[in-house]
Amino acid sequence: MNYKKETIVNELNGESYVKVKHPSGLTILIWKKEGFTTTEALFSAKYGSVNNRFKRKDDADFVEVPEGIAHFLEHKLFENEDCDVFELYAKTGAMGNAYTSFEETTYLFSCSENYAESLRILLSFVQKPYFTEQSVAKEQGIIGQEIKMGLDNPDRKSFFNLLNCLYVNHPVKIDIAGTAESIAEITPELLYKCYNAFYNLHNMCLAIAGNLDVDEVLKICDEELIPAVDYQLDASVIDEPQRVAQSESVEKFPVGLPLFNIGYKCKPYEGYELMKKEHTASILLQLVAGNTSKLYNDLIDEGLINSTFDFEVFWGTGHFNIILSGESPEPATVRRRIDEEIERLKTTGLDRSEFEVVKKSKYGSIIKSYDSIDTCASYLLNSHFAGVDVFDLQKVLAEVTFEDVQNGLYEFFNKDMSAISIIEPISQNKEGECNA
Amino acid sequence: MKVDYEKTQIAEGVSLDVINDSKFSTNFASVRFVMPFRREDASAISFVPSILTTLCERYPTKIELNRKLLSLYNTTLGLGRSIVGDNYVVTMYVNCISDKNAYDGERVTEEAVSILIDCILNPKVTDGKFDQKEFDIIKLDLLSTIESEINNKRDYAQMLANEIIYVDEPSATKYYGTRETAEALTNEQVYECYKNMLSTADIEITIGGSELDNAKKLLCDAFSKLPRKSNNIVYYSGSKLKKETAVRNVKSDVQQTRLIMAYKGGTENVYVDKLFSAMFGATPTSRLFMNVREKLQLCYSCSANLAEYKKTLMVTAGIDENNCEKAAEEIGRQLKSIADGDFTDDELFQTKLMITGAFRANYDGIYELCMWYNVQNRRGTCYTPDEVIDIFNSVTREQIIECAKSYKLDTVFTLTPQNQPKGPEQ
Repeated sequence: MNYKKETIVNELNGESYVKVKHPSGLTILIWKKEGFTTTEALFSAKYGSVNNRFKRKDDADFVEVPEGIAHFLEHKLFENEDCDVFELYAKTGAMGNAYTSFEETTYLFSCSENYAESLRILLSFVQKPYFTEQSVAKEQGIIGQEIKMGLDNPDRKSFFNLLNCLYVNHPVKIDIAGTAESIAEITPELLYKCYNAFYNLHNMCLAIAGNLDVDEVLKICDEELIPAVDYQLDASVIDEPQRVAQSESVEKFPVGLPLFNIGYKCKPYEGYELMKKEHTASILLQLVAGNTSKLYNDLIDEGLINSTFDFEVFWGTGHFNIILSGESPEPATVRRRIDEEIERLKTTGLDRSEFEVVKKSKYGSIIKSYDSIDTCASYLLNSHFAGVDVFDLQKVLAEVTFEDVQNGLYEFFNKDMSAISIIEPISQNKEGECNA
Repeated sequence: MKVDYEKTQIAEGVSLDVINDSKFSTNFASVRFVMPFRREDASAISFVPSILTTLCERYPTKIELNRKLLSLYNTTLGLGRSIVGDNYVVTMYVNCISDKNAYDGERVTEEAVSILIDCILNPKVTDGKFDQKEFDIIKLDLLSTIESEINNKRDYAQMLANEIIYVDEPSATKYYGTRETAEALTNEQVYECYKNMLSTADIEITIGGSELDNAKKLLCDAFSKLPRKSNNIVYYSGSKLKKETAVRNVKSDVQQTRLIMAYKGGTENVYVDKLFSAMFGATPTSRLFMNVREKLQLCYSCSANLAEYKKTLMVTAGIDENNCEKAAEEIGRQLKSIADGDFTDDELFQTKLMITGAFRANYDGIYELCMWYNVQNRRGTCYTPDEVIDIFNSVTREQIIECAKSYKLDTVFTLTPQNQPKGPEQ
């Protein structure tokens, strides 16, 4: 087949990967890692738990589907008409798996031999859905247990309670697996409806990294991919107002110490700007609350946080958030102290030399991550869906200035756009006895 | 595939493993202290690496130490604690970028390793005590960890189950001890424990990556001069099978029941045990996955894991309480089925294929390679992954059958939701 192969080179170390827009509609990203033994392949649809409402150009209206259906579909695709997909991988020695996130459903394998055969299996089964009443009913039981397992996880509960505080409409606040009630509404017809909308090669990406031959990968793609018509899917999430739904959530749970998630809802970004804002926010978080910061060390010294304290920049289509989490005897005090520290830093300004140190550390983290084949494959996939190239990562980092980070104090930490989720302990008398 | 691996004894009870591999962007160095485990020392031992990796004489505050690590291209200074067989293992390590990737020509590995050595051998100590302020903070953190052990239901269930499975053995105890021993800890006691650890524990040093000569010399110089005596560590200590299967139920505020079944037995060949446990319950086509989850649809997760040094096979599942009995029966049935030889050559071959693929993946990470040789040392061998693959591939169906027959049910433990009484209570 004739198509253009674009080579993207890392100026830092000379590594490169190949990018192809295949005639079938699929974007293919291939990163050969010299000297490595394993291969990791990710075949992914831009379809996650947030996509509960969509419209193809040939649909009259938007279709609304039950919560958790993307995750359900991921489970069901592992079973084709003849057998379980795991049985196919067993013959090649590959470890197959899949996951559903807020915005993607990804099928993957890793192996250290027979990658070509495993790639054929991957490309083939994802393009061949097979859903029946019986198989849907079976999966409702298994996923029901997965949902129950999640209900016993206080960190997950605290995180989703925070998202429900921060977001009024955005479906990121919905649990990826859905609920026992929502998955009970799922039928084979609905699964096919979702599959035909989202599992279109124009809406998908193959990312493969490690021990491989670029031409062989492309030859397999030529043979296995079924050309798709681009139905110009509209899966835009509904509008989100610039306010939080509520400032606080408190729930009781069987935990030792209170847990907290404190979030700041920010303006969402896209593409290259998103990547730059993520780096900027991440550097700022390290300066404000990292283990060399005044705030972190004061809170630790006063016993207000412990070693579980952590922070992240959490983003996706239509949302961008700063989240700080951990355990504390006084979560509300931690929240107040963070806000006070932000105000103090707005007055005193950040430390420029500290900024340079953190920036250097971020560079080190990027270098370290290139040693991992699965991280490289994930970088390929995530950068494609974010609309950038992998090696933009370090380019963007170099571009972040002290002033960008300083401005972030105003841009990312708006007190009026923040919320806290607290999980308080249920008092326990002794093992086996609980009082709510 | 050949590995550039070298093991030397640099002093009594002190070994040094060096793995040279230039394909990685990162280097790794660790120092492990291995000592016989005594329950009463658990809290104090677990405390030692926490305080050593917080500050040292050269970087006398945690801010200074953390800033130095950040400036060294985000070098990670980490710690680990585990109970291996009947031994307590304390690990401290650094993970840094290799020198060729430093844009300012800094000798990152040498500096990272010197920090590791300083933290271990030159801690901030005054009048026979560690820094009191940091001691108090770490003690509070330890107590928080104990307080929060109920947060993760899977780990919590395993912890409670271990008390029954390994009753009267060190593995019944958590690595950080109990609330009582943690609360009673004193700074002097922890310092004494540290001094003992330095002089009596076996020390296993590992360094891997590229351009290691200077760092290797630093490690040799620092650890070859310590006054030492060896412990003659024995890693394998099979747990004794109970005369009668222990059945225990604990109620807790959970939504889902955790079922844990411990089998004891095993063979003299660890690779036979590993292959059997994979076929039984450690792959997506294992007996437990295909039958308990896929065929009977009893749960989302059901798997088997080999506790190698205790010769114990642990089966765990998250399940509806009503299905517990049915799942336990099916788990037992699948074990018997393998013991009866009711499996095909294809099933055995495919399990080998999957597991050997995972072994080969150890070539792709410097940390993984370092850990690989650490485990090989514990087994008294120094096979490469390829050599182990050859051994794995030579395992016969008869050996698998014998292995399955050797495992006997020792303990059935359930953590069940409140208000649904079932089974004997603790």
